[in-house]
Amino acid sequence: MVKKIEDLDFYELLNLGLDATRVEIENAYLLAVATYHEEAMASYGVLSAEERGVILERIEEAFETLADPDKRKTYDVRILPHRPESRQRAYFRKSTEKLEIEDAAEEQKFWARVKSSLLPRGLQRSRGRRGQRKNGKDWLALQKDRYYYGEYLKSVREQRGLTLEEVARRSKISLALLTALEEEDDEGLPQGKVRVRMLQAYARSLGLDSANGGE
Amino acid sequence: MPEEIYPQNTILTVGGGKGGTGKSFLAAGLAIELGARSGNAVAVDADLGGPNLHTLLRARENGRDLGDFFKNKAPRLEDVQTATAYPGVRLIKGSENALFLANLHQAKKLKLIRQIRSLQARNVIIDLGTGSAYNTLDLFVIGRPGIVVVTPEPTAVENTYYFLKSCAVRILKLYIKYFKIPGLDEKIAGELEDGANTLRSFLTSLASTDSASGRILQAALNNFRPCLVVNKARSDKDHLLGRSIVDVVRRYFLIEIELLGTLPYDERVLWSLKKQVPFTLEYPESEISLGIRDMAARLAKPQPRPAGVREAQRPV
Repeated sequence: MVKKIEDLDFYELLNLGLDATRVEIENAYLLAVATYHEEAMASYGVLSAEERGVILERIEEAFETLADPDKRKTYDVRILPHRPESRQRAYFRKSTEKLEIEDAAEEQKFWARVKSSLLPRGLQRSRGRRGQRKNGKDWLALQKDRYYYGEYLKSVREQRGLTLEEVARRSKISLALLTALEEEDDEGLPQGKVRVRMLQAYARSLGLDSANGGE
Repeated sequence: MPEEIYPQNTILTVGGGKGGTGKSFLAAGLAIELGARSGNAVAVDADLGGPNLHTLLRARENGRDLGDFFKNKAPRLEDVQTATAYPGVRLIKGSENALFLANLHQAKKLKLIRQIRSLQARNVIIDLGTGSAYNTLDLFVIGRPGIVVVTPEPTAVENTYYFLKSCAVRILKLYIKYFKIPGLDEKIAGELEDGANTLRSFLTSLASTDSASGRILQAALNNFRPCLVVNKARSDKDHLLGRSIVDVVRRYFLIEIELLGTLPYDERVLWSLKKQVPFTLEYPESEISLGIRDMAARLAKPQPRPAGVREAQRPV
């Protein structure tokens, strides 16, 4: 159904993808202001003064949030669960390594949730190898300006009623590393490409789109 | 008389709310380009007020036009085609008698639409007149896509919104009639046609009171996928306008419009017109010619059928 302007998230408001770069955000902001400012030809006669005020305010707010990496990260964590990308799109089959979440009985899900809330987290942390091999790409630098959402991964995992152990078994990542991933513990994790691969494996095992979900 | 739909026939319609935006110029340019590509294009001049495609396409004089088709002098639309000076392009001339199309009867209009769909042509390009009369709208919405031409002037933009809104209301009314949804007809007349409400607010209020018919109407709107061409752009700001209009239309009119392209203003268009030489042939490397060629290339690709209401359910 039709969303209200006030209900659009900032990416939808500016017609941006979740992976928009700084330059794309700036361009989208310019276009939005050009479209909706008081004397704009394109919105002349369509919006009331009140509606115009609302959307302009939202556009400013959107730009202020998305242009600031810290604010953007906090905002992303908040909206990600509501985005269509993070909703499960297909049933999982047992024949794949993915989970058959939809088919799991309510009872089973309930106990999984109980277990996941009772079991202790953050068991131990092992020191991972630092990724030295560059493979033509500067993986460390790449990692610096990108970020992922440990909190989000955790919430998805809990929503789906999975324990860390179960994920560890499916993704073939050790429990300690998974915990470190969820807590975004920089020290306990391998650097660079290895970390990216690991995140992808984790996201896959949750049934998320590993290409744009995790990292 | 069998009227089978010619399988590969793609129909483009060129329309818009304001006169002098370059609808006929664009229609002629697209006809020449698509004719050169497919070797089998037909341009239809359905301009109510002043037909002039025959001048732009330099059609041969042989006297037959749409008027003869409507007066049943020619039983089939094919019989009133004339050759043009350009390879692969034929023309169905507009009627000299202006009153014809303006007062076109419902039955005649449906016959025209059926026969346009059964024309033995790869591409059909319909040049429509200015304005939002029902006959114009009904012809515009059979286009896949319908192309709206706008120039960067406040009046033209305003008329474009009015035109698109009228199309949408027309489509909604057809669906309401087809699905026999009671009471909505008056609601539309009261709320939308008086111009007080945007489509967005109308559909949101409908969705909250009557979600089933709200969904039907939204699926109906989803099937209407016009394209936008901004013509006579003089500055970078004008180039930005197309994207702005697309954003506003998608958001406030809930119409999935797409920007087909922006054509710059060029004084030479007028010179070509005076010399009666098609601009795209006289200046093939100009930005306008390249732009039109680019549009033709995009339009020649098969259009994906929008999801939603199935073909059989489409009442138009």
